[in-house]
Amino acid sequence: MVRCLLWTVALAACLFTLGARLAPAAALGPQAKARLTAHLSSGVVKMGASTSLVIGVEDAAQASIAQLPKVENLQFGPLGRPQERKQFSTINGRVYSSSQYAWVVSVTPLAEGEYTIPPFEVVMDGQVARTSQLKLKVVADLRGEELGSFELRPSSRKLVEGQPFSLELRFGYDEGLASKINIRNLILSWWGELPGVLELETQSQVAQNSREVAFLNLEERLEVEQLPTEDVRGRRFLMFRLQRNYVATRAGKLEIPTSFFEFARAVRSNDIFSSGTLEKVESYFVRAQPLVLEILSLPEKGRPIDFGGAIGQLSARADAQPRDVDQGDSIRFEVEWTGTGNLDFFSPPDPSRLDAFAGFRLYGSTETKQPGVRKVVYDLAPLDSNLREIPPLPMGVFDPDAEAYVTVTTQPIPIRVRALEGATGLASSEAARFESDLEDIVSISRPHSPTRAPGPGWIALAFATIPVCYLALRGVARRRADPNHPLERRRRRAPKELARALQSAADARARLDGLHEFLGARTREPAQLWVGRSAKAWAASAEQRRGGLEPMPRLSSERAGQLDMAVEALERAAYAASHVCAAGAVQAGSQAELAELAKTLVREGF
Amino acid sequence: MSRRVLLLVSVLASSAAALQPAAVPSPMPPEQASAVAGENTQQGAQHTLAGASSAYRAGDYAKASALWSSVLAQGSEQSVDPADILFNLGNAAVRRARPVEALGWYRACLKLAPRRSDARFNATLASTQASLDQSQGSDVTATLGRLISSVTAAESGYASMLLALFAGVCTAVWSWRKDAWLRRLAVASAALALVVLVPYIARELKPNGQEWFVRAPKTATVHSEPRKDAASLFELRAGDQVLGIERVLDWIKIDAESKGRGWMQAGDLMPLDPPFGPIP
Repeated sequence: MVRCLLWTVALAACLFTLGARLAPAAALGPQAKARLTAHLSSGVVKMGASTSLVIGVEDAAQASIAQLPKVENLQFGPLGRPQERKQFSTINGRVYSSSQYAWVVSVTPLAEGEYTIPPFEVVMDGQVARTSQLKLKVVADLRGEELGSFELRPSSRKLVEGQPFSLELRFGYDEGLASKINIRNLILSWWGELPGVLELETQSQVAQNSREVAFLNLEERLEVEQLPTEDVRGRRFLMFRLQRNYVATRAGKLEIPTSFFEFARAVRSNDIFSSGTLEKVESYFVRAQPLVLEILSLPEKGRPIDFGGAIGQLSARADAQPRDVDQGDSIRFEVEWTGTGNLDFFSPPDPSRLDAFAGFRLYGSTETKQPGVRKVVYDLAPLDSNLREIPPLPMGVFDPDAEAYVTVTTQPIPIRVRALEGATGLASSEAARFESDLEDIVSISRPHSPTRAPGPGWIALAFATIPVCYLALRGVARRRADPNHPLERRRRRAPKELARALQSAADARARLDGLHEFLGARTREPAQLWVGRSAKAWAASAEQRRGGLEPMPRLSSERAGQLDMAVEALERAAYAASHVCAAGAVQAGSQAELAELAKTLVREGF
Repeated sequence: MSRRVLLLVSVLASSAAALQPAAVPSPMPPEQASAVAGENTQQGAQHTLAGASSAYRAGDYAKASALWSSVLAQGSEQSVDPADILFNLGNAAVRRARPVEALGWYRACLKLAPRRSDARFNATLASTQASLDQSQGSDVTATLGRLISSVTAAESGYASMLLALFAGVCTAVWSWRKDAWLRRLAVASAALALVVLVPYIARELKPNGQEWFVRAPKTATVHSEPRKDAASLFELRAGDQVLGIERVLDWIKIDAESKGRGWMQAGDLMPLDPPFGPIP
């Protein structure tokens, strides 16, 4: 019982604690997922020079690195404190916050070769993340600068956050080497690890006949476009192009470290252990200078209140079907935004929040995103038969070229709205008459009898009744004998047992045994105690003991006398063999008498 | 068997006797004098109420407020329900374009009768008119707060006592009969009694003192001493509730829980618990 109560209290406490814990958790919104990047400032270094390992963590409140990896013949500089940066921006009325941590560790090679820096652990907000595997090539001499060409061409060097941009990699080598070179390898230590940008899906528009293959960090195959030969530094070069699209996600400087293009001649190895693998016999390297892109914050000046984050040079086109409708009918209002910009990322305008669309009810909208097109279908219903057109839908767009916000609008679409015949309803002026007002005063107050709360003592007393009632009634039950106790069950069973014994008894001795058993059961004693005992004497002693803790059966002296007589007659019949006939006479009478006597005794409380 | 029934009946009878609310000591002298005086007070209060209602209907809200305030000040709790008067005072304050004060009256009314839907509705309207933020933290906290405040301490206490006594009876019968369902019933009743007791405990745990409501239109300054030129400690917003500690002339020392203690001018406050003084 006590355990059950304790469990209940514990459960209630747990529920309260859970509620209190859930409350602040529910108030917090979803958080951006932390992102880990790691790259080398240069994927190729000459002996004696060093490169830097740049580790960046975005959108994490806390980040730490326990230990840098250990690579033979690579010496890592000390791991200092990270550079921290926090940024807040407001887009479409929502405040976005971001934080960045960056570690820069110098890496000095002690010997030539190709090194693999294994993934290592970074703890971000208590979660352990692992960096990607990094490759570093250390060569004695970087030869081939004059034989090759490598250049990174961004679509713009000055961007605003949220603006998409493309990065073109143009690389090639002297046409005279074309017959010798059979490996083209781009060593891009930053590939896939650029912080603060998001790579967009690029649709391949390369013609089948101009597709070529190049390696990325000698691991991955990339499809590149072969360009017509070009004049570079007065010589004909075989040129290739690779393009990727990105979107800048935060303001700041985006640094793309030194990249290398390796063009080499390789032959298949004849070694018995590594037969078939390519072995470079001649390698040339050409580097692309590091690139720094400046990413600016969106200007506050001139920003529309309902700016949805659209950036670029966009144009809008709208269509509506059907155009001849009844009042309240649904119109499919389709708006398409096209052009160069972040078509996938802006929030389209909401007509229900525009005054121009006050005469329409917006039931919902569906969106589709295709390359170069953003389409939104609004489900509009005209509420007024006087409406003649779907008004222009404006959208604020930041034009990076003009460095200003412009409004892109759709053209108005003429419509005809027919009034519903016999339709009634509350016009807006009518509805205003039924604005909510106060509940009225109470003019007649009924007599009131204040009820005071019970004192803590009364409540404690009420709760105290639980153990008190338990203990009290348990005590009474014990005093009055537990009805489930075997002795009590035997006592209740005694009359039936006696009747059964008398019926099955073959002689007087068996009946005497049955009677002794009955008397023993009714007095909660062993049957043997009644052998030779005087019922009168027992009744007298029981009367003296009545009122004590032990319950005592009632036996009057008259019934005790009858009982003594019955017992004596049975003893005579059982043990006096010479009086068989006499006993036989007694037999029939004593059986019925005994049964009757037992019933009377039980009825009187024995 | 008959003795068992008698025992159960006696336990139930004693439980019912314990459930009777504590008798409120009557200040009246002899019975007859008390009855006559009570009748007179009741008639007088109802007469004043009728006059106040007439004034309200006639648009004289200041007079109606004064009459209702006088009924409250008489403290004739037996003849009229103070919650009704507080509710009416709230309505008069709304009509007099005093939404913050009205909200105070409705809050005082809801303290006495927490489930009065009309007072709750009018309080929402008044807070909207006063442009007050009525949010009470997160959804879970607000729901728990509403649940706890929807019953009075008396209701919570007596209901809990009733359930505890019922649990006691069930326990007693179970100790005799040993039936499993009786044990479950006893445990469930005891658990429910504890849950029902939460509002009572919540009120008991509150520090003693009269609760006050900030009725200043926007904000009210809390000073370090009961002087206007004393240092300003912090500001309280209209609609905040504070605990009164002591009063010196027109200054009240308040305890604003997290913000601290200080002195406020009585004119910026109105009581949420009796005695309800007149509001200028």
